[in-house]
Formats: sequence, C-alpha cells, structure tokens
Amino acid sequence: MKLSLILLLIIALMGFSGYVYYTETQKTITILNENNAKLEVAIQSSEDALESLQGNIKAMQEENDRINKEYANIRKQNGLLASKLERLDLGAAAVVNPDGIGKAVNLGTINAGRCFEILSGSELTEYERNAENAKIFNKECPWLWPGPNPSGVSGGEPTETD
Amino acid sequence: MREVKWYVINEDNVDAIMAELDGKGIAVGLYALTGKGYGNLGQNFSDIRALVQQQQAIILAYQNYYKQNDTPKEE
Repeated sequence: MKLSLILLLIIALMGFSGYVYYTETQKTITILNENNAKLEVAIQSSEDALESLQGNIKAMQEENDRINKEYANIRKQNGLLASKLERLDLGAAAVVNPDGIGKAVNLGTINAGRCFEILSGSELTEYERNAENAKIFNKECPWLWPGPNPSGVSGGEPTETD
Repeated sequence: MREVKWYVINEDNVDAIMAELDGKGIAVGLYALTGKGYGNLGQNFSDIRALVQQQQAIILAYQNYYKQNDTPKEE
C-alpha cells in the first residue's frame, strides 16, 4: 500500500514536471517565433536599404564617369587655343599685317564673349540657329553648336579643325 | 557682353591710329599688350570658360543623380 502511494506520487510528480516543461517550452517557442518574425522584418529592411544604396552607388558612378568624360573634352577644348597660340607669333603678325590681325582679334573677342553668353543660358541668335556647321556657329567655341536642329546647348568633343 | 575694341599698333601705323582716335575725339592714351600678353589674356579667358563648363557638368551630374534617385521604386 505504501509502495503504491509512493509510485503514485512519483507518477504525479513526473506528470506535473512534464506539464510544466511542455508549457514553458511552448512559451519559449512563441517568443522565438515572435523574435524570428522581427528579425525577418529587420533583414528585409536591411536588404531594401542595401539595394537602395547599391542603386545610389551605381547612379553616382555613372555620373562620375560622365563628368570625367566631359572634363576630358573640356581639357581638349581648352588646349585648342593654347596649341593655336603656340603656332602663332602674334607680335610678328601684328608687324606684318596689323589690319588683318586687328580684325581677327576683334572678331575673336566678340566670339569668345558670345561663348560665355551661350554657356550662361543666353538664347541663340537667328544667325546661330541657322548656322550650317560648328565653325559658322562660333569659331571660338564650335563644340557648343547644337547641330542643325538646335534644341539646346551641349558640349561635344572638339575636333582638330576646331 | 560689353563691347571691347582692339587696335593693333606697330611702328608703321601708330601715327595713323593716333590721328584716327584723335579725330574721333577719343583721348589718346592706350592700354597696350604685347603679342605674348594678348595670347596670355586669351588663354586666361579660355581657362575661365573651361571652368564654367566644368561647373555646368557638375551641376548636370547632380541633377541627373537626384532625378534618377527621386523616381519612386515599384514595390
């Protein structure tokens, strides 16, 4: 009788322990599931942010490449005058042909000033709009010629003849 | 741009140009440059123009970048 009672107590204790273990495990599982859901949201947010950053970096690299190309063109354009001046002795030319040089420098000054105006957003004149080629458009900055049907001003790559 | 008129003067035409200016009632005091100085002035002008173009390229790049990144993404 005493042994049966002890066995019954042991069984009851085991049952209770099993119940406690089960309920605690379920609670833990619920908490872990909630944490997991939060982590999934956090991971998704991180992935979205990463994707967005990668997109930004790509756009930035594209623009950087474009700027570098544009800078190379600008350097070439700027070098054209330097190489032209290297070939000319303006002092000697003024001794030989002051009238011709005078006309050339005055026209060059007007054209160079006009380049600034165009770059600053000035509308093209009728003469410039109807220019058939870049040289007729402006000898000092032919690369600003927008082409036969102008819709805007853009810099292009200069050629040796500019 | 404001008008700038250059006179190219050498030993042979200096008197004629002085007389021409005098005839127009312009005080004959000239600001002179040598050929080299004129070339340098032109080159400086060209450098400034290049700088303006560079600044424009940068502004355009920023504009493109922000336009591209302002476009709402599809969910």
